[in-house]
Amino acid sequence: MPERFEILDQAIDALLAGAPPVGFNAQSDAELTPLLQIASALTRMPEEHFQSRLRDDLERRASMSNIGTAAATKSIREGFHTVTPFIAVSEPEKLIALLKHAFNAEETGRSPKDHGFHVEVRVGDSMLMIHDCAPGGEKIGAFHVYLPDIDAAYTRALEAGATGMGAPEDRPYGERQGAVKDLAGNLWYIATRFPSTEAPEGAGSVMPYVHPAKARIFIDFVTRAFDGKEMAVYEDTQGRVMHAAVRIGDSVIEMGEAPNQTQSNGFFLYVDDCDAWYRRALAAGATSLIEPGDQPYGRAAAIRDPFGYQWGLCSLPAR
Amino acid sequence: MRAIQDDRALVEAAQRDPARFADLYEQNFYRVYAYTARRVQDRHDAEDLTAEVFREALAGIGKFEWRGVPFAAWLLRIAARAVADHWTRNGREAGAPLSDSEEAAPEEIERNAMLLQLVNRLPEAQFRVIHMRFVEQKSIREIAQAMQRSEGAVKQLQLRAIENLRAQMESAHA
Repeated sequence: MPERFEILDQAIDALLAGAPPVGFNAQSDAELTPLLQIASALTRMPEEHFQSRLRDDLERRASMSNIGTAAATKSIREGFHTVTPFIAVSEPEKLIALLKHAFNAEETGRSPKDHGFHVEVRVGDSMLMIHDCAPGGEKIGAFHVYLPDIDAAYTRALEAGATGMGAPEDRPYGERQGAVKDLAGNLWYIATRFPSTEAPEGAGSVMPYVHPAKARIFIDFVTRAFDGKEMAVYEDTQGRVMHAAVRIGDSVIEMGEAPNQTQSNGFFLYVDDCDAWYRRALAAGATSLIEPGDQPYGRAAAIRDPFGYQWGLCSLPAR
Repeated sequence: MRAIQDDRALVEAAQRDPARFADLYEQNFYRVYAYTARRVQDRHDAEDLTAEVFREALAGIGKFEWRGVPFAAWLLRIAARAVADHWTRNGREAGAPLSDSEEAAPEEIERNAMLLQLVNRLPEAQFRVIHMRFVEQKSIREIAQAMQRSEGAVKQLQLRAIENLRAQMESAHA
């Protein structure tokens, strides 16, 4: 009399081969039938990782549908893009004067005196938000600014008190570029593209340029938190990221790795659902600065990413 | 009633934030898979159809209107349509579709969904044997080589896994 495990295996062999069930004696049949019913159902079980692969696919689609919703419902304030850099300095008027003189910036909005210092300026097609802060609380960063004549802009920036960090020169990556630093320490890479150089999708007149210690980790965070899309990564022979770009919604953030990170840019994001993006950013490793709450200008929250950069999130009030 | 309320909360959360669709997916994956696998037999077709159902559900979650019917019923309606389209696309070459009278009863779908879920909770060695045998369609000899065990030991693991599943199914229904 064969062992039970042998009898069951023969029956499973027949089942898998699509052959008629093997006949057994009455006692075996009574024991085996329910086991074979289970075995029969198991022949249709999914592959081991199918469930998790499909889950990942749906998560990707869900995050894309968020951005899609944002664009479709015009959840971005008129004249703005998904990402607006914000800068906090202790002497904001000096910075605004410099931006106006050197980059032809236009002041488009200023909050009433009793609402704190908040000024919005436009450079080309891009907006910047400028706040004041106590010394030591600055949010300064680097910016890539495209202007029609950067030689003239470079001269004007020095006239307005900026420090030259490199006179304009033709660069091998398709643009003429120079750099200046303002009084607060913001670094402005000013450039004019060669006529043959095409602007990448989403590139605005001003793009925030970050210098994180690890660019790949920053890109990973932006991808998971804000559905960022990696656009380009250029590494040197040691694997250090010299230049990279990531797109969020209709905006681009550029970066170059700096082992001793000293700047801490700030960003303001228009999103379709502040609470949802806030939760997603926390899940991606951000820490909460301000929980979502209703403000006169919309529903807003703020987080800090693992590099110390601050991100304000805002969804406009329903119209 | 509680289940329906939970269902509704999950649906509304996913409508506000599509990232929350993951909860509905986890809750219904095996049900949808068990349904499609019952209707099309072939594993790859069942996987493709399951993926199609959840993608369509995610894309249409905003349009889902709550009328007190469980969310799973909506998913299974999408699945029924996907299966019908599958047969239309593939015609007779893909085999004969089940007639309505052969269609699985809801209890059978639930039972199979539970079984597939329980497989994932089997002890590792038992799970490996079941997966290799029923999904990868390996022979006992091949499994024995892969697991570095005797053929007799693999057959015993196979028996224990299936008895284990049967016992858990019975206690779940008790």
